[in-house]
Amino acid sequence: MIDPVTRIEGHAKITLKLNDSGNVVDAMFHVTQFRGFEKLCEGRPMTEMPSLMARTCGICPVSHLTASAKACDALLAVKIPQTAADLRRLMNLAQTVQSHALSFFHLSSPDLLMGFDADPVQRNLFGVFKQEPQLARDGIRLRQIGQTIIQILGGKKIHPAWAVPGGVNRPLSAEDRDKMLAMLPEALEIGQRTLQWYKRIAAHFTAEARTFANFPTLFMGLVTETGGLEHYDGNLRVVDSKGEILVDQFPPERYLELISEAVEPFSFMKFPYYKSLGYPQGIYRVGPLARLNLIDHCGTPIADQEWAEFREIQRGTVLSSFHYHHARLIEIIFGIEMMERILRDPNILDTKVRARARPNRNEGVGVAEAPRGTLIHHYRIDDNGLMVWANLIIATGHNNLAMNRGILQAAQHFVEADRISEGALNRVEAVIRCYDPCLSCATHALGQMPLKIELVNPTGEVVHAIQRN
Amino acid sequence: MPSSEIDAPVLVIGYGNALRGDDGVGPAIAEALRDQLSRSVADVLIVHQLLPELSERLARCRLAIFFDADPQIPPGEIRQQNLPLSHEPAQSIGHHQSPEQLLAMARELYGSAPPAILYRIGGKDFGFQLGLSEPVQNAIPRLIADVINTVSKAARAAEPPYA
Repeated sequence: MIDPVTRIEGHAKITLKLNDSGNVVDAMFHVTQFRGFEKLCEGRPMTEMPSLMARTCGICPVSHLTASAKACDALLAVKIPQTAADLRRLMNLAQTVQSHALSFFHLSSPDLLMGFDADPVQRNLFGVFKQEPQLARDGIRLRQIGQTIIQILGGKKIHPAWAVPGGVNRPLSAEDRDKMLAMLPEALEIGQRTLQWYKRIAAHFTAEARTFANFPTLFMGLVTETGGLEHYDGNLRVVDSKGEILVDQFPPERYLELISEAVEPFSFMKFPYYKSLGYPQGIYRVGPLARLNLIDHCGTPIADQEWAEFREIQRGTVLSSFHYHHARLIEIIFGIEMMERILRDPNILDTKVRARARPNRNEGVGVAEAPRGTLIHHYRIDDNGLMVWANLIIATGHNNLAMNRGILQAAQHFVEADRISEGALNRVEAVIRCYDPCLSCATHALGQMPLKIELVNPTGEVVHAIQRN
Repeated sequence: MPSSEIDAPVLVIGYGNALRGDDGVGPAIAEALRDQLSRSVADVLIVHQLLPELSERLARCRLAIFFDADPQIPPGEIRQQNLPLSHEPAQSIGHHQSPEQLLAMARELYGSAPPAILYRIGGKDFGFQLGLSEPVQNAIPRLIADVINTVSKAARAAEPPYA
């Protein structure tokens, strides 16, 4: 048992089951926290939802704010002003940049810099400071820039109550636009420098790339009308492991025709699956790796070049979840380039940023790409505009089947019979970390994420347990 | 690395969650100090958690003062400690740090770390609630008087135009 899992967002433990020969034959990723945002919103006015749902998470509140506001737009039955959509897109990209920076620099770079077998006393953020201070400063600065843009737009870094049903609550001033534009060249320089560093160092991790959730699955995400990388709007696309498009330009509000959710007794996190393949065969992945696997192009110059190189890693699609790190860095560059494009459009200063209406529908769906993948908010209201039902499908939830299977693959490769070494423990954790899961979101729960792993023999006896706080 | 237009010599950071009762004492003290300290003397920050990003600002001040709630000490009791620079590795490698870790980051990454004081205030009610318990509430005025005195001394010791 690994309990708690570290350097992820939330609480979890892992059970590895052994056969009579002492080999790992099954793995279960238990998400042990519970929060239940879908229930506590019932009876509240729909107008409160963007602010309330943003509280689901302190890392990606903007994603919840965005998806919730879009669901409310659908309830109002309005098309919001283009400038409002662009401003929301801008904030969503800023959050993607800062969240990816947190994942890469603060949570994963210690493994990449010092190696998975390094002494954990050194293999941490302080080790990074000592060995690569510029990398550490870059991580801090990139997060600062992303958070500052969120603060400029929304008034605060965390839980900004700025996106509202029908648009956003205030237009952008030229002064604030210029402040944001002034930060982007430095951000782009950091993004490019870090990606080049990563590409050099990634060559040392061939065993991890081969065994960190390296198997065929489907991939799902939003795309633009031309198949480009999309984080705010667009339609759903699903591709298989060979890159063949199974579903394209699928209206996201009809997501229930594509996916369904299963429940397992060992976890509070649900198990979404691709409906037409059934459960559990309908395993799919979302997030940066999926997005870069299913698009035809990114849509910005530098990201497009890097994306073309990324797709050379493997024919068809890039299957190993280890490459989430690489994909995340390309998305940082894309986000910065796209933010500059949005800010240089003179229409971004238009003062018409909100469509006003009363609720005109009893059901609405809002979908956006969160840093970790496709985020779905689905609401039903009564005729007075009060919430009667909500369903949230969170990026981390989409990846639940793939995380479980990835843990099994890594455990079978790195865990030796009846013992878990520090290196094996860290690798099993690192598989999960590749997905950058946010269990606070996925269970709508509270807190940090420590990990515990147990090795269980065929009679159910725990033969070894290892735990981190 | 960016810096604000003019950095005040003292950085005050109150941290905690105001939605969890007495855990909000750090932010409450910082809020009160914000009203009483000149911006040329002290920058006052109110945050939920101590994030790595704060290390850069810490490196640019002459004195840092942290306020936090502590469930381990009697409600309303105040403990003051001068913080050493931590040489310990980060135990929590997530997205929040201790004051000592932040100071160590400031030194490692930005070349300097200020002297720092941590005030821990004992609390008793950490449930889902707004507001502070009575003993915690009562402790705030005398603490603020002490802190203003400390900040004033630090500002006088600093070079003009701070003094």
